[in-house]
Amino acid sequence: MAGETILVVDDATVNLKLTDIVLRKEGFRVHAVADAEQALHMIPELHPSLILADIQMPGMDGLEMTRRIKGNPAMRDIVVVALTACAMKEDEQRALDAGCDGYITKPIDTHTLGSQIREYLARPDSM
Amino acid sequence: MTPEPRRQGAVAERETQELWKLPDSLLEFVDSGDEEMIVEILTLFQHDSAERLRDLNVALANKDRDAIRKQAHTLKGAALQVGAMALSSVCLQLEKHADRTPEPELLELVCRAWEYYERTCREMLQAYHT
Repeated sequence: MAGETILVVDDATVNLKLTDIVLRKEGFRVHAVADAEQALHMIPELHPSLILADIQMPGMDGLEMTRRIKGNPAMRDIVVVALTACAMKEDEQRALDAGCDGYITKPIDTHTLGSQIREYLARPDSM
Repeated sequence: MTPEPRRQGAVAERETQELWKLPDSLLEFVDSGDEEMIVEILTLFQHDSAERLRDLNVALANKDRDAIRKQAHTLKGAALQVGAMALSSVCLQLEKHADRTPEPELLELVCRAWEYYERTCREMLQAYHT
């Protein structure tokens, strides 16, 4: 499972960098981008095992990006996990409604992020 | 002397928590000898937050409440991640009240965000020379 490719999408530079560092330390191959359009452009070639995406981003948000991924037969097998603000409970349901496979609340916990990602990757429907 | 009337609205919710405390999960990187990574994250936070605060000023000048809410949301998340609790809290107020708070109160909240940002940077400088 370590060595799998993770695509992180977040417009917040600090969160993007920290997530990148933590997941690399966990042994994943990480690609980090700051907007959804760039992420969608990269997916066909990168074909990541999992996408970790912020919900609220300028331009195309994480929800619209997820809808496009899950609506595309060539991409819909990719696990998409939303990053939601812990104070915004309604975002969690919106993420699931958009097709996300789950969500992780921010601020990210550097202790548990790796194991959370591994759990999502180990789900039977993510194979 | 007549007591000052209690203020209502977003500005009345004065933050009470401490200014900045590196979260335990990040402190572990320091303890394991990876202080360089913390310095990199804090430096990024300082640069990115200054840019977003300048964007907040522009949004306020343009009376663009949607932009105020979005910038405050992103700044709040970054501040929370590095333990800048007071800045995160005032950004939460901005995000929650951007749509209906009178402009003078929004201005006061943005000024307070700048104040907390600058004080947080000073503390970071003392602690990690960033």
